[in-house]
Amino acid sequence: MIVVENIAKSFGDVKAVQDVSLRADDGKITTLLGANGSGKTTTFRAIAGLLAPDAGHVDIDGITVSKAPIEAQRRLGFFPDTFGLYPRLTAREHMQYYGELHGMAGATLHQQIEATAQLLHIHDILDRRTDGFSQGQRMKVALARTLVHRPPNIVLDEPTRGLDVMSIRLMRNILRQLRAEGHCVLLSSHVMAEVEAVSDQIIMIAGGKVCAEGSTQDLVAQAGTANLEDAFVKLTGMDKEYAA
Amino acid sequence: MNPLVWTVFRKEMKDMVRDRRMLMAAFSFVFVTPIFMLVIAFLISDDRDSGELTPLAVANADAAPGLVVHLRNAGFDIRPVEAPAALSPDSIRIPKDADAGLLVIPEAFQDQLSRAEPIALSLFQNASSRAKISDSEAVQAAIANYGRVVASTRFIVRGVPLVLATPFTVEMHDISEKSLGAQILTDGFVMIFLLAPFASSMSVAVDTLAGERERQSLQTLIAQPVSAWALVLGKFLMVATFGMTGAVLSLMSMSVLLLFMPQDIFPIIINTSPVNILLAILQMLPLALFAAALQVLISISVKSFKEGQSYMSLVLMAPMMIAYVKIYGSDKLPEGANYLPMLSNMEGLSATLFRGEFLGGLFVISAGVALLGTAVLLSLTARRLSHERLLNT
Repeated sequence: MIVVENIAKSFGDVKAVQDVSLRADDGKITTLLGANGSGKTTTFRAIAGLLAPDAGHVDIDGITVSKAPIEAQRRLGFFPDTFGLYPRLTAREHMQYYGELHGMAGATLHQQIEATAQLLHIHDILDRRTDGFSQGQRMKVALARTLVHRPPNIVLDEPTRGLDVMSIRLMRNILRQLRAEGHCVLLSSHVMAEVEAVSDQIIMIAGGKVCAEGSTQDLVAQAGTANLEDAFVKLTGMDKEYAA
Repeated sequence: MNPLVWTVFRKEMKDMVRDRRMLMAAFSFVFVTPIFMLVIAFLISDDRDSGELTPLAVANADAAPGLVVHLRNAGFDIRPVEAPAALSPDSIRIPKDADAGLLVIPEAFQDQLSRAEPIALSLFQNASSRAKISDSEAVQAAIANYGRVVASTRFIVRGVPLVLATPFTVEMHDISEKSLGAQILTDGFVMIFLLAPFASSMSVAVDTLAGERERQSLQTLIAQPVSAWALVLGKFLMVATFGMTGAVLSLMSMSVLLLFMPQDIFPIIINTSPVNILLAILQMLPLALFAAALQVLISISVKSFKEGQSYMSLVLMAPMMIAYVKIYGSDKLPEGANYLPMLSNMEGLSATLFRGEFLGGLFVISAGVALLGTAVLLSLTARRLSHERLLNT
């Protein structure tokens, strides 16, 4: 479970996150929905222990990230906004490296690599170097690297960006499977259809602040609109912004 | 040691050795430099005195038979030519094979000589190569020597004892342990050897952090449960391994080079006993660690591979400059400077490789300085790796 309590983060004069609180439960898919520059990535980086918030704190399974970052990171799988692969390593070697960084070794690691390859359907590219991989293949390797240690909490920053339809469908199925296995899944997106399709809980963020949260139905009802997209525009205040 | 350091080290090594261009960049210095030195040595040896007479074109040779005989005895092959119409450098043509140039003797040479008047000889030379300049200088020396013979004869004829013309003589005695030339040669040899760890680890050092940042894989890596120190040490050890491998290969290639070097051009012999080689490698180790730590710090401080390469080139110039200071100005350095990396390595390695001595005291102090510097540089790198600014790509 991931709990974010009133975090704030500024970079010079820019207030990237002003006041964000959220709770992502185990066995659920929680989505942080916001426009570009709304503070999603900064929030995720704080959760992953890459940034220290100026105020507030992040707890992962009860461990405060700022106090015990290594312990918190052990319980987290982080899929950042860039895939960042090593072109000279194979898909298997990516999983092996990240598995070892999480303290896995020997038969356990080997079994986990096989299970992850099975989950992501990547046996055909498992022993190929990632140089020249398509965007979909790169996404799969980056996801495999994130999941190889089977973290209880998984954070994915815009995981479907740049993917084709089949890769997006595969990603959705994987997220649902992880939810079914009891993982806490927290992702960010600004693609309404995708958010609606997988999310149990949606947290809307704008200007570095949480402005609404609930299920798709809750948010549509709260905004009094016909669909999630209109609800998002209304609840985040973007309608007034554009009207002005 | 933290097992994660080993994990990072293994991954980095695997990643780097798979890049052929990286390997070529890493070890080209080690193999190309000795070949370059060998080529230069053979070019120099080609200029050496072959025992053959040096062709010298002489105009109006008949006017000065004594001088011509003197020049012939001094090793010149006299080629008589027609006298030029005018002594203007623009109109003079030196015969193609006259390496020592063209000597123009005035037609009135004998008359002027008998009247003891100053005689103006003209020597036209082609200063386009070191060998031709050297030949022309030899002609001037031979003529000056002939002038002294003529002057001595005049003194004797006039009853003046020759000793009056030479009030004193100086006899030179060189008591230095090693000539300046030999010292410069051995220091130059050691300098190339010492540059190897810097040159061999440069490209992998840039790739290990600046490259990782550019590929945007660094963000994911530092989100893993591994301390900044473990990451830095794993990467640093990989860079140092490349540096040390470069140093050992450099020692081997330079030792092989000496087998083919003309001994009169490069009159130094390397002491290649196993103990000496091991002592040389031991002395290289602190420098290789220091070089790797410095390069890793630069790599974390830049945003891209290209930027990293620019700074690394400057870093490669620093030890070269230090080495030249040591070669040409060691007597002006303060005493403490000899314990600094590079300077101490040059002193210690020179002693080990060429005199078979191990300067233990110097090694202990200088290794301590290098290791302390390494620790400080690694500490700065670990701090930078933990810094949020690193996420700005």
